Amino acid sequence: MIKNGAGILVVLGLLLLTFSARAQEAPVKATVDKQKILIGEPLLLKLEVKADKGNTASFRLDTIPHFEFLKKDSVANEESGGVQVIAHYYRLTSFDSGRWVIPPIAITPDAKTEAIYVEVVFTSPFDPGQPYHDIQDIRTVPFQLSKGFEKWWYLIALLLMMLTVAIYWMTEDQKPRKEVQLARGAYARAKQELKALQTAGVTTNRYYAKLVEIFRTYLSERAKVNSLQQTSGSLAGKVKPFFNDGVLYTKVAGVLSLCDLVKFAQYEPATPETKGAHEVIDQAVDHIEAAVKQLAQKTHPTSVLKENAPGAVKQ
Amino acid sequence: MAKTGEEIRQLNEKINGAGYFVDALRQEIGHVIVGQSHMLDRLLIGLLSNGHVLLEGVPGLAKTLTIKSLATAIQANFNRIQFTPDLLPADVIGTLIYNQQQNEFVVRKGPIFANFILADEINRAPAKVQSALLEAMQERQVTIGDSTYKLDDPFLVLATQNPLEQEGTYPLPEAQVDRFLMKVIVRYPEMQEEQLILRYNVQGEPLQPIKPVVSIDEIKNAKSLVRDIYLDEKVERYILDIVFATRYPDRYQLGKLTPLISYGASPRGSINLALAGKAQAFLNKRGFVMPEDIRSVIYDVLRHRIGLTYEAEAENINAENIIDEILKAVNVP
Repeated sequence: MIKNGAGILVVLGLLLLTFSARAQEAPVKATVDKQKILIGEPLLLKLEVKADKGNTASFRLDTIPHFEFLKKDSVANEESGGVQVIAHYYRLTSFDSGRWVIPPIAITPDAKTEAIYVEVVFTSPFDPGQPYHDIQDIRTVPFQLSKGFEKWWYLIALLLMMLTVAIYWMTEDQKPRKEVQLARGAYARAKQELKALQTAGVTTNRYYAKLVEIFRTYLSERAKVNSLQQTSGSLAGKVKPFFNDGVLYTKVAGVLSLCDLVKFAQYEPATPETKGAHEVIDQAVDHIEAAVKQLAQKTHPTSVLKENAPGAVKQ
Repeated sequence: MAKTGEEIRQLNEKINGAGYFVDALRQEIGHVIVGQSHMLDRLLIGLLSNGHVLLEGVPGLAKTLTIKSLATAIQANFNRIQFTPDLLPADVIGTLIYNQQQNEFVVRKGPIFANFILADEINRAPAKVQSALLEAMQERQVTIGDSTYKLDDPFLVLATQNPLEQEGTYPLPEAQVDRFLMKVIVRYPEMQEEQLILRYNVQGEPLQPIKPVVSIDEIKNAKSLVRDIYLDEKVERYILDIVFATRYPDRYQLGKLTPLISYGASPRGSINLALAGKAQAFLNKRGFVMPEDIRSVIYDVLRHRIGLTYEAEAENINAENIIDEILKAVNVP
């Protein structure tokens, strides 16, 4: 029994000696701070090299399969019992999921570290049965005014409403008034210019040019006929609908032709002819004015009522 | 040149007398041609104002028959030249050929020596032939060897273009097209007119031969009267306003046309608009030009003188649309 116990002690002693000898024979060591990381999570790899004091063990670690270096080679020196420990730190990560190995790293031909297993995993276990979403679903966020802004919001809304009412009030009343003023202006101006032309004392050519110009301008403004860009022939056709009096229409067409003769063929009409032409255009303006008013009454009764209302602008 | 009212009145009377043939021509040609009065009027305008006419239309619209009938009715001679890719300038104007018996070179005049020339499908011949014809049109004379020969008077060239087939053609350059007084679009006849055409042709009754109704001397006299027709300064100004509106649309509140026009009408456009306006006044038996006359010929005189941009073509806008807009904007005197 005693022999057996001594034997065991001898064996244990031998084993301890073997381990201590082996520990002394392994001057390099690799350790990691985590054995399991998420994809992209940093991992600290520490390489320790024991060397005699004054011996600078230097090596370079470039790549490790499946791992990326985030930060390389920060070195720390420690000294204990005349032995120098040089620690090299590497911050790594991996973007490949799986179980990977940091392989044995040879510092010198005789000294190499042991392999280290590291597991790289997803945030949550990957379930291929779930629908694929590369981005999150859009979520509805309920609209909420901040309390400080709420009173301003009501104030702006109130101002906008007041502005709308003011614009409506101003334009609703002024639009027809403007139209009436312009229309009455066209008629009054034509009559005034016709009267002035009688005593103007201009050449015949100029007289007829002005006569037809007054008529064309009046038609353009009052009857909305693009009379300034029409030839006399086409203008006669355009004004025909305004005449229920065929005789007057024929006279107007005749005066327009006469004007062309004077303007383009140097024709010198006799004085009664000129006087007659003036009278025809004067009558035509009155006639068209009445026709336009009648037409307006049919299409927009309110505007004519306003025009005839007490206080309306009288020319 | 300024004229008095009395001079214009006398001119009116002369034109009324000399212009009798216009109605007679229309009536005589009407025996053979149904419709196409627009084309006939434009040919007369070309004839009276010493210009040439470019006709564009599909085949079978009686272009050749019209000009042939017109030539017969005014006792003028007529030649037709079919333009083909292998045509040479000498085939048009003539050349020198060697006479073995006399042992010398003699001049063989080309078909251009006639009063009326129909240059059929002018865009089928290469540029050098087109150029030879257009030069003769402009100069009214041709040089063969060392000698220069005056062309006949009246001398009217009608060139036709087919708007459908463009493959294998040589389109006339803008500078050459500008030499034509008018570009006339020959349209299909109306249904009633075509019914008459159909009836005449199917029944097989021989057409009445065209009788001469006017002499070349009377045409020459009419041409000199056309030159005398009074064009008032106001109408001149109207013509210039229209032409300037094609060049500077902004000045006439037509800024929207600026991106559509690549180039406007040339000064030759203004001249031809005035000449065609005078001839139109003659056809209306007047001794003075009115804005109506200008508006009546404006599309035919200006349509080939306004260059369109790609933007206009993309929007399917043509020269007629541009002229329409200009007429709506420019004030009539």
